[in-house]
Amino acid sequence: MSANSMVKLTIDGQELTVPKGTRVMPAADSIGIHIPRFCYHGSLSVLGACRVCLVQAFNPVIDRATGEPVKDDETGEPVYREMPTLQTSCTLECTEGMKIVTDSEKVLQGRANIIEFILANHPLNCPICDKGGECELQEMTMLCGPGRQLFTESRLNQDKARRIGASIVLDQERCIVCYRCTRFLSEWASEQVFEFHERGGHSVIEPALKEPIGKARFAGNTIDLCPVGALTSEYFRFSARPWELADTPGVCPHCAVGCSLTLGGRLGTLCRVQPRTNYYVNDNWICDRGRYDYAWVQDDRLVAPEVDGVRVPWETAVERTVSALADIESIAAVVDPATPCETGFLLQRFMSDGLKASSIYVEDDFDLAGPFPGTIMDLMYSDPVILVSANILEDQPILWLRLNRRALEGKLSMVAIGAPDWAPDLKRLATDHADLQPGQAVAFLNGMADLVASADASTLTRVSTETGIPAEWLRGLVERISAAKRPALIVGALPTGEYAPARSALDRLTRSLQADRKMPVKAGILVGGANSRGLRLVGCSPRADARGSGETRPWRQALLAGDLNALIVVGGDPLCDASPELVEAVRGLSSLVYLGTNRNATSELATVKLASASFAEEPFTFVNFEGRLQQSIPTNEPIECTMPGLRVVGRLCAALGLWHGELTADAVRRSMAETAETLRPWAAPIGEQGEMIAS
Amino acid sequence: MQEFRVLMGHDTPGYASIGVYRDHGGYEALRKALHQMTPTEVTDEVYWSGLRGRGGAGFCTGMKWRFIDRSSPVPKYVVVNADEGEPGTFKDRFIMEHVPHRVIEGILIACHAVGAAKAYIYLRGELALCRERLLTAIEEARRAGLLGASVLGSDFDVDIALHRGAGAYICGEETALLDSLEGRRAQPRLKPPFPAQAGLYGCPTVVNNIETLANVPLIVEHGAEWYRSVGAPNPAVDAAARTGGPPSGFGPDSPGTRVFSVSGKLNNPGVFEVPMGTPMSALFGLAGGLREGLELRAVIPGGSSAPMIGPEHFEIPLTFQTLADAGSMLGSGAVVFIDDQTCPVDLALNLVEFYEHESCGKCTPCREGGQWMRKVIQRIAHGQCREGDLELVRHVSDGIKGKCFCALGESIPAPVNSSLALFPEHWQYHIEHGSCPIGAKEYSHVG
Amino acid sequence: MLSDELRGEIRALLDQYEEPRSALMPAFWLAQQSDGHLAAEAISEIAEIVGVDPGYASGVASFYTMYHLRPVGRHVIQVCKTLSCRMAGAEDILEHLKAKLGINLGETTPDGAFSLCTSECLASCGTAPVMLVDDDLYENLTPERVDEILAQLGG
Repeated sequence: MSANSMVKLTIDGQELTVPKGTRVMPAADSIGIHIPRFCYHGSLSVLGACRVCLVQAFNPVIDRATGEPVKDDETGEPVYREMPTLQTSCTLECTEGMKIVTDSEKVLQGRANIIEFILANHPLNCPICDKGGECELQEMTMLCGPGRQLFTESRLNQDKARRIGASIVLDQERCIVCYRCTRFLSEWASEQVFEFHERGGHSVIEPALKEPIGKARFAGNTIDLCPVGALTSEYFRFSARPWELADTPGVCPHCAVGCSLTLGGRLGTLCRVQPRTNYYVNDNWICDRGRYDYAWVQDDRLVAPEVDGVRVPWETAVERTVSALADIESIAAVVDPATPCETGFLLQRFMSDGLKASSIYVEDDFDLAGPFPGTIMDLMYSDPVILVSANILEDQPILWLRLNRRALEGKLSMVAIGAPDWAPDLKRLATDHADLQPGQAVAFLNGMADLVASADASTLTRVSTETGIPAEWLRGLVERISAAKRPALIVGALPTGEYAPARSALDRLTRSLQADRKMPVKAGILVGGANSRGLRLVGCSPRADARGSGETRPWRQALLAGDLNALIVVGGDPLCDASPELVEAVRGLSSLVYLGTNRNATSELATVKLASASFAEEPFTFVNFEGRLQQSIPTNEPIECTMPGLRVVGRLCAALGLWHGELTADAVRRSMAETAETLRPWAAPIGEQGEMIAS
Repeated sequence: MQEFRVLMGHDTPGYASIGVYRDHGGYEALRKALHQMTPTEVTDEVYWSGLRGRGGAGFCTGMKWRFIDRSSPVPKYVVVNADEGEPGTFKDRFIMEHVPHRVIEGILIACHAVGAAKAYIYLRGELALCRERLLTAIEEARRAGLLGASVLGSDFDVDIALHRGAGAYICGEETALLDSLEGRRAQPRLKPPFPAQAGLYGCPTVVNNIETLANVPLIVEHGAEWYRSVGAPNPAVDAAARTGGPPSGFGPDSPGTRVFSVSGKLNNPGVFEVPMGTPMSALFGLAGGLREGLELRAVIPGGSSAPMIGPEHFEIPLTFQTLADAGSMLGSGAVVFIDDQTCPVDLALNLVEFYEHESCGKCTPCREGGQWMRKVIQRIAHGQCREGDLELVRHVSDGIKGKCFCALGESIPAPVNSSLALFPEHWQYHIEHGSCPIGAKEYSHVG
Repeated sequence: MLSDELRGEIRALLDQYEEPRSALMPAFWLAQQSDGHLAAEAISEIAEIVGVDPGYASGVASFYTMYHLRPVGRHVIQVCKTLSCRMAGAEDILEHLKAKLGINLGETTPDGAFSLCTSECLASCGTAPVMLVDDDLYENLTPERVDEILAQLGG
C-alpha cells in the first residue's frame, strides 16, 4: 500500500498508521484499546446508533493558504482543534494527524450518560436473565455505567419470553435497539426473520413471517449477536450459566466447510454450540444446522461396547473384533466422511496391515469428484461465481452466506444453474439463474468450454438446444465470464457416471478461462463431508476401479453379490433405509462391526458395537474442502464407557501388534507425521484458524 | 415593509394557475436558463447569489448544486423537501398554496442545473390543499410543454412526481426523507456520503426546501446582484464574486428576503416576506403586536428547534449570524412570540412531547432521553415534583446534548434549557408549590 | 382483498420509481383511501406486489402515524396540539370535542362517524387553533365553530 493511502494518528497517545478510510473503533481495536460498543460489530455495516463509543477527537489546524499544519509560535508544536462534540468512534474516519482520546473525564461522562439512557427502559432483572454472565450491557454497566440509578419514572412494558419458531425466544423489553440482528439478517443472510416496528421509544422487533424460524437457515446467529438477553436460544436457555461451561475450540462435523466452533459443555452434557471467529472460514457465523443439530450427542447413545447385544468390557470387545476379523478374507470398511483423521489413519493401518484382502470406502463421492481447487477466500474474491447443480445454500451454507454477503455488497454475482425444480431458494436468492434440462450438467460444462473459445451463433444454438437454456442468456453469461477478472465455477454432486466427463469438461473450461488471466481461475466439483479430504490424505481411499456413488457404491454391490465376508462400519448409518435384500446380505456376514456414537439401523444389525465418543468428547482433526487442517478440543469427557475413535481403533491395531505405546491424539499425530511427508503438518502446532496443508 | 419576491403575486387572483403566472412573466426564468445559460452558469448564478437553504440548516444552495458531479453516468435527482413540520412553521405551505408555479419553475431550473431528469416532491402527508395545488400545477406545466420531453424546445427532458409523506417529522431531515422516499422506515443516514454523492437510490441528489427553490427563478431572471440588493449581504462575498476569487464570507452572509411564519397570541399573525436583517420588532409590528392585555416574555426565532431568547433581543436584526450570536438560530424562519400568559414549563413539555413523539428511535439519547425528559417535566407540570427535579432535567439535557445522531435529538434540550434559563423563578414556583404561578392549565396527551 | 382496480393502480405506481420499494408508501395511501384504514391483509398484498417481505412492509407502515392500522370512523378528526395551537387553546377545542362526541382520544363514536386524535404541528400556526378532518383543514377554531363543522359533517 502506498504511503498516501495510509494515515497516521494517535489514540490515547499511542501512534499508529492505518489505511485511509479506517474508522477509529477498529483502529483502536488493532492496538488493543477497547472502546465500549453495542451497535458496532466488525462484520456488520457501520450504523452509529447506540452512541456509547463516544471519544474526543482533535484535528490538526491546517493553514488554508499553505495547506500545512499550523504550528504554535512558542513551542513549534502543531496546533489542534477539538471537534465540537464527542464523536462516535465507530463512524469517525481516521485522518492524518488526528488525536483520539478514549479515556478522558468528558468521554467517561458521555459514555455513562448513554448507558444510563439504555438502562432507563431496560428491565434490571439480570439475575433471572439467561444472558447474565455474557451480557454486554451488564459488562458495560459495571465497567463504565453511571453507578447509580436516577431514572425513577415508569418503564415501558413490552412482550416477554415470546417463542419465535422452535429455536429463538424474544424478550422485547430487553431489546436495546442496536439493529445487530436485523443488519445481520439483511446484510448476510437475506432472511427477514425480524423487523423493527413502530418508532422512537416504542421501537420494537417483531418476527417478520408467520413461521419465521422454520425456514431460516442462519437466524441463530442473531442470538450470539444480541448484546443483551432480548434474543436467547430455546435450546440453551436456563440449561446452564455461561461461566459454568467448559468452552473449547471445536470444528463443525456437518459439512465440508468445517466452521470453527466453540463447544460449551457442562457435566458431560453438550449445552451449546456457537461459532468461533475464523475470517478464513466462517467469519463470525455458523448455520442453524451446525448450531442446533447436536441432540444426538446426548440422545440414543451407545454408551458401552456390546457383543451380540450384550454389554462387555472393552478388552472383550477388542478381542472379539480382532478374532472375528483376523483370518477372514474380503473385509470392507465403510467410513463416514465426518470420521476424524486420527481414526482414519489408524483404521487404514489396521485394515491394510492387519487384515487379509480388505478395502476402505468413504461414504462420499470425493474420489470421483476430486478436490475442489480453491479456498473460501478465493471464491469470495471471484466474480461471477457460477453454481452448476451446486446447492451450496443447503450443502455448504456458510460458503453461501459468505458469497451472499459479497453479492449484497455488489462485489460478486452468484449465478445458479440447475434443473427446473432444483434448489428454488438458491435460485431465488442468486443474482441470476437458469433452468437446465435434467441430466445436462456435463453438456452445459462442455458447452461453456466451447462458448468461451468461440461464442458464434451456431455454437450458441447447439448449446442452447442441448441444455435447454435460452441462447441469449448463455451469450450474456459468456460475455460476463469473458469480461471477468476472476470467474469461478462450482459443480455439485452428479450421478456416478458423469463425474469423469464433467472433470474433463472442467479441465477444458478452466484452461480456456485461464488463458491470459493472471489470477488462477477456480473451477471444480465440490462434494463430500466434513473430513472427506482429510480421510484421503491419511489413506482412506478405495482402489481406482472401486469407486461408486450412492446406490452404486461398490461395497453394496459386493455385499449383494456375496463377495464380502465381514464389514466394519465407522460412523454414520449407511444401512438406514437399506433394501430388504441388503439387510439379508448383512445378516449373512460372519460379522458386522460398528464403531459409532449412536443407536441406529446399522448398529442394530452389528454383531460388535464399539461405542465411541462424540465430536464434543474427543480430540480430533478435520481437513475441510479447501485443504485446511483444523483441530477440535473436547469440552466433555467421553460419556459412560465410550472411548475416542482413535483409542478404539488404536487398541485394535495394538492387538495385532500394529501400535505400541500410549494412545493419545498427540502420539497418533506424531506417528502420522513419521509415516508420510504429506502428514508432516500433524506434528506441528495447529493455529486457531487452522493451517492450509493441501491445495 | 414587506418585500414580495418569493410571494410576489400571491395576492393576485388566479396566480396559482399557469395562465396568470405566465401572464406575469412566469416560466421566463426557465426559458432563460434553458436557452441562454449553461447549467454551470445557472449554478454559478445561484452560488454567487448567496442563497441559503430555507429549511433550517441554512446551507449554501449553490454549493449543494456544485457538489453534484454532472459527468457521473448514473441518474441525478432533485428531491424537494416539502415536509414542513417544524412547529411554528407554515410558510412553505403558504408558498405551495399561493405560488405553486414558482416552486415548479424553481424545481425545473434546479434539474437543469444539476442534470437531473427526475424530481420528487416529498410533501407532508397532512397538506391536502398543497397536494391539490401542486398536482394541478404539475399537470398544467406538463400540458404547457414545460415538463416532459424537450422542455420549451430544448433538449432538456424532465419529470416531476409528488410523493406523499405519512406523518413523520423526521422526514424533514434530508437523509431520513430519502430513506422514506425509498420505501423504508425514515431514519437518518450516516454522512458522509452526503446526498450529493450518494443520495436517492445511491445516486447524486440535491435536496432543497420549497422556499429555497421558489427563490431560484427570481435569481435566474434578475441575477445574483439583484438578489443581493436587499437583505443583509456580507460585502466579502460580493468582493469574491467580482474577482471570481476563492469563495469566502458566506458564514455571515444573509442576502435576499425571508418568508417568516409569525405566530403567537398576536393581532395579525401570518406569513410575512421581509428582507433579511429586518429587526424582530418590525416583524412583531407587521403581526399587529400581542393581543390586548398580554406582555411579551420571550421569542422562539426559528422554529421549535431554536432556543427561546428573551425580550432584550427584540431589536435583533433577523440574520443567520445575529441569531447564532444570540445563542439561537434563524432555523426555519418561524417566529413565535411568547406572552406572559403562557406557562414556560407547559411550553417546554409541549415541545419535548413533540420530539419524543417524532423520534425515529435510531439513536439512544434521543429515543430514551426524550422519554425520560418528558416524564420528568410532565411531573413538574402536573404538580408531582420531587426533590432535585430541576437538576434531573439538566442532567438528562446534558446527557442528550451533543450525542445524538441527527439534529432532531439535539433539539430536545433547546426549549427546555432556554425555558429554564429565561424563567427560573417560574420553574422554581412549580417545584415548590406544585402549581403554576400564572394559573395555566396543564395538559399532556402522552404517557 | 385488494380490488383488481386497486392492484392495477399500485402496479402503475412502480413506474414512478427507480426501485419498486418506493411505491410502498403511495400504495399504502391508495389502500387506506379505499378501505378507510390499512388492514394487515392489504399490507401483505401490497408487499407482494412491490416485492418486499410482508413483515418489512408492516414495519414501514407502523413507522408513519397517518396510516391507520386499525379501523377508524368515517371521519378522522386530528386536532393540532403543538406550540402555537397549544398557546391558542387547542386543549379547549379538544375537551369540547371529547365532550361533544362522548369519546376519548384514539376512540371512535359508537355510530362509526368520528374518530378523534391529536396531531403534531399542522403547519397552520398563523390561524391557530386548527384541526384536520380527513383531508380538510379547519382554522381559527372556537367551540362554536367546532359545533358548526360537526353539524355539517353529520355528527
